[in-house]
Amino acid sequence: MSTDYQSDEEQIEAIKKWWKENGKSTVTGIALALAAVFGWQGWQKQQQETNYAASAAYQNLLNVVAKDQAPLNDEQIASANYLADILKNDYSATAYAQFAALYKAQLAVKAGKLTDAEAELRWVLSQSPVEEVKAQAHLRLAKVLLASEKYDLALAELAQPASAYKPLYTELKGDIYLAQGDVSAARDAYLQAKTLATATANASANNLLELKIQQLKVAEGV
Amino acid sequence: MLQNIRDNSQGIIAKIIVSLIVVIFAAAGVESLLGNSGSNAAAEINGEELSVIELEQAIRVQQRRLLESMGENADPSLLNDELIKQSALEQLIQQKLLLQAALDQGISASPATIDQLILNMPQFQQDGKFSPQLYENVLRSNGYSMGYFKELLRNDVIIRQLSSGIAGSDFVTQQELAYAASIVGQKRSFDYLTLSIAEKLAAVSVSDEELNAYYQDNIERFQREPKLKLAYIELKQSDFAQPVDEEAIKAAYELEMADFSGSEERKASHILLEITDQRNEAETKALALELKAKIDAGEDFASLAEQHSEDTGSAFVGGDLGYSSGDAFPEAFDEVLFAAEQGVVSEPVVTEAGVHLILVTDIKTVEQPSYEDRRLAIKQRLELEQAEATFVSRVENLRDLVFNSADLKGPAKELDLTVQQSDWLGRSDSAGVLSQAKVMKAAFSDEVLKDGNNSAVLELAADHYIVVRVLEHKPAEPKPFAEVSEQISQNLKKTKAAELLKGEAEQLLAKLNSGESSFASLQDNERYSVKSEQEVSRVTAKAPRELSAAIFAMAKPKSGDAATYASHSLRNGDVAIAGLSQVVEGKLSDLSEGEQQAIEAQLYRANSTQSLEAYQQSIRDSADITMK
Repeated sequence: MSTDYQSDEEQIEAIKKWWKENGKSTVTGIALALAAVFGWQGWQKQQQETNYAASAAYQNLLNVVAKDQAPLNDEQIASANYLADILKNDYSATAYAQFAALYKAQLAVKAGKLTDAEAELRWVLSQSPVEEVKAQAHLRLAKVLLASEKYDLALAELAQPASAYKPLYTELKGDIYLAQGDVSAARDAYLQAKTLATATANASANNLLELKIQQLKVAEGV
Repeated sequence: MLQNIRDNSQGIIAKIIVSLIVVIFAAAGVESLLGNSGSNAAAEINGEELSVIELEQAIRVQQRRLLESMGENADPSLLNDELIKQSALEQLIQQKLLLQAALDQGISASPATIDQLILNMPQFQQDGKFSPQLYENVLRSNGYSMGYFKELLRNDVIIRQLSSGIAGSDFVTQQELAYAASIVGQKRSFDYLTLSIAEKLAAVSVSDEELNAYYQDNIERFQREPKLKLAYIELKQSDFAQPVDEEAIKAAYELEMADFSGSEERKASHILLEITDQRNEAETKALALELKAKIDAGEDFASLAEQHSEDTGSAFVGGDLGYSSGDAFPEAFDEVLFAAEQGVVSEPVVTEAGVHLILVTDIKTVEQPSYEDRRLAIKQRLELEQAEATFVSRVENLRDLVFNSADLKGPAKELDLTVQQSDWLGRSDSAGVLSQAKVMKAAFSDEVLKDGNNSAVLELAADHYIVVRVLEHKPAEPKPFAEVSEQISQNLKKTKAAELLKGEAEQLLAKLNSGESSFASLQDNERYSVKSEQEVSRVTAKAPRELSAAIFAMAKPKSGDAATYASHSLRNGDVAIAGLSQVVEGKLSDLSEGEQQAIEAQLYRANSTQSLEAYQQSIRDSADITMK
């Protein structure tokens, strides 16, 4: 410290001088910092309140759709759609809105309204969701398109699989090829899906894929 | 510098420095200055620590569940601690990753929601209302603070919300359903014949040279296990029994009868389905109902229990749990058990273990036993009770003595006990108490076997202790040729016969494939007995089960082709040759509504599971996990 030998008066003088030169910018800086901190806190708090409200609304939706295995009656379907719409409209920026749209797609598929399901899944994709939700939405969209016999569109949805979703995407490609009548492409896809799935440590056995492969087996020795 | 501070302690600079130190203390706590807050983390997941305490708690939960599933004869020493630790850690990591991903996406649960949840939990309700007292007691007895309990609940709600959004929202299209139905409901027509291995076995022979060569080449497979001769001292509580007088027995009998109400005992079997993260209570119940429907339709409870029950202990014995007099099982379970009719499977019952289907297999009415019936048992019990104090002190004496002694004779003499001797014993022998895993482990341990020490005093049961010492040791050695030649001969004959059989099967297949032969022409050959099955489904085939599974794995005949052929080795060594002549794809509309719903439910489950697994894999791939 170079000020070791200064008297207190000299020190005060030095500080006064420094304050004259830098006082204004210091005060402004502090004010700005405080504004930023409080603003950020306020925004966070508001964000949290929004999330809490969305969470409660979503829980209500779950109470209707996930109550038990029995098919929903008309009234339940109507209230599920109503609750999901609230989430989509009032909390569109939250992940809950995307989950609500996924449930709406589920309800639409159950009702046989494939176009509606397609619209919901496209809405999810338009919300710039996280990678996993995006991958899931593409996969389900491809399933809906396959069921609507729009094979090329379905394949297009599966063009860029996120790595953990590769086995599922590849199996679905097999389904689409088969629906198109391309048995050998389907067989290749299924076998590839199996290889990919075996490479994944935590995947449980996919019995249906095994059966699909059996169906396309080529006779030996012919 | 310090001198300066003291000098200037009234000065402004010093004040600033002191206030800086105060601020640092306030912000970071004293630990930041002490520096070495020793790490007690088991792992670090995306920068968040997983504490050793959390891991230990998870391990305990897993151990308890495993022991419960092993039933009455649970032996904690059979648990593989390292495996349990691995799986508990794995589970914790999965949970933490899901929680982090959920929080990142803004998934949340307000404190008000959690409070509401607690208010409605049946565990905390008394007379239909929330009881703060009960809440506090339950938490305390489980070792949870309120704050920690709420945090656990909150995490649970958040993870459920995430997994429902990711997995629960999945669906099954009609196209998927129809496709699955075409496979599952498929029917196949085929002819088959069986080539018997017995015939070939009779035709082959094995020379002594072959036997000898095989023995020499595979000598390591014919090892005799190491054997030990043991000296041991057994201590049983019953050895210290003192005579009791008739009056005491009578009094104890009266006491017993005061508590006795002529009751009944019921024997229960169950199928347990656990409620898991992937399968909530409602889904598990639905699954249970599917099983119940099968049983009600005539399927065998025991075999379904073997296949489906997740209570591994009882699944092996067809779900049998033994008798209860009304207090052996959880309350909800016993209630149903005692209300049910014998032989009729119950509705799904929910307990902490999961969802049960319960079957009463026997009802015993227990009448009040007479004094004569009970006398001996009570006498023995009283004698044992009297013996306890002496017994416990003897065990302690024995412990001290054998630890300091170079043999067993000294301690035995001092305590007036006998040293007994065993015959030659291996690990696979069964020679009563000596063959218990604990005793064998001690006998073969380095301290006892190599160093020649006495073993510790081992507790076999609360009233039964033993200490052992190795007298003689016969190390592993090859069994003499004469002892194993018969077994080798059998094996070699089987191999040769199988070879012959395979050759015949291949020739036959080649002829069938080339069209030189057909099942129609083979039918006329006396050597073969050809059987036919028309349009059988996966479950109804009359052919041996292992064959019908193989039939459904065969390549389909192309339209216009006569058939495809394949050979299948059966478990008994025979070889079946099958010709698949026709495949009829399943149709959704041919299935009953119940079957359709069952397939749809199964596909939905599979889809949701796959969705969640892919999600978990994906967040795991991008996670930064360090094990400590």
